[in-house]
Amino acid sequence: MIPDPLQDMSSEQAMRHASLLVLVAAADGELVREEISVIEAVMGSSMLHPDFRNEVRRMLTHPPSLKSVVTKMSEAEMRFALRDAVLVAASDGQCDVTELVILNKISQEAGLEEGRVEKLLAWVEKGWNWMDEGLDIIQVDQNAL
Amino acid sequence: MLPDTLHKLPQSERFAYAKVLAYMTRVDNELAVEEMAMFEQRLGTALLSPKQRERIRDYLKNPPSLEECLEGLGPESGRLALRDALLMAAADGTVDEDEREALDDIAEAVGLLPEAVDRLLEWVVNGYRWMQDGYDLLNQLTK
Repeated sequence: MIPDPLQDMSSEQAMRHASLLVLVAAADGELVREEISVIEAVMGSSMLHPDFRNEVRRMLTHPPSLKSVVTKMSEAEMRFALRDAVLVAASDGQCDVTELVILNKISQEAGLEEGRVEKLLAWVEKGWNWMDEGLDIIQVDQNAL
Repeated sequence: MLPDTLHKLPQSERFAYAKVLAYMTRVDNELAVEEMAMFEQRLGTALLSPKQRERIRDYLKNPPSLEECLEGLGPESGRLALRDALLMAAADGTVDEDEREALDDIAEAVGLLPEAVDRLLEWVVNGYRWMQDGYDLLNQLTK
């Protein structure tokens, strides 16, 4: 929810970024609203053209292969996409084994140290705490929704 | 882009919520790229239908009055609209006087004191720090 370099991406880069998120969301064979909401937020942040967004939405039922996406990405792009992929994977409250396997593969492709996806997951947890603080300030009980 | 409670709101309230954000974009008569990106991000998080998004984008050209926006909001959606209106206002790095006035008006309308706006501003700064931690983490983790 903070201004992000996503908005500086080209349409092609933003498409690849979103495609990688779709891959992670579809990894466990179950798409939940929280995952879709994060992907839609990322596409919004990158101000992707509505036609491209429709293309990404179609991928939700027919996700691309990891190889076909990452071969077109630079290490920096992959690293950045990994951050958001972790957000997607953790969005339903748990990151399952299938998602972890894909995240670790992306991490490896991005030239990051092995086993460090956990650090990003810990970072996401801090983000959740930050979101909760925001809800406390406006006195909204998320369990009541 | 963290998971949020927005998608749990009734669709009509999500639409009213988005109208408040559209109103907010026009308060200082300037729409920075950062504000637009935040606006689009929030529409995405709210899972508005493409048709609703089109209608909301029309409001960017012809913004509704604040009173009109507030009409369709429930207690929770109103407060979430305040939070995200503030995120949008702060997205370009500053909250100017007109924006602050509008935020205070929204806070009053949703039953919160102006000090809630001050606390939300501090909260946004903490959010920036959290984002920065994410960037730092990606750089530190390089082999």
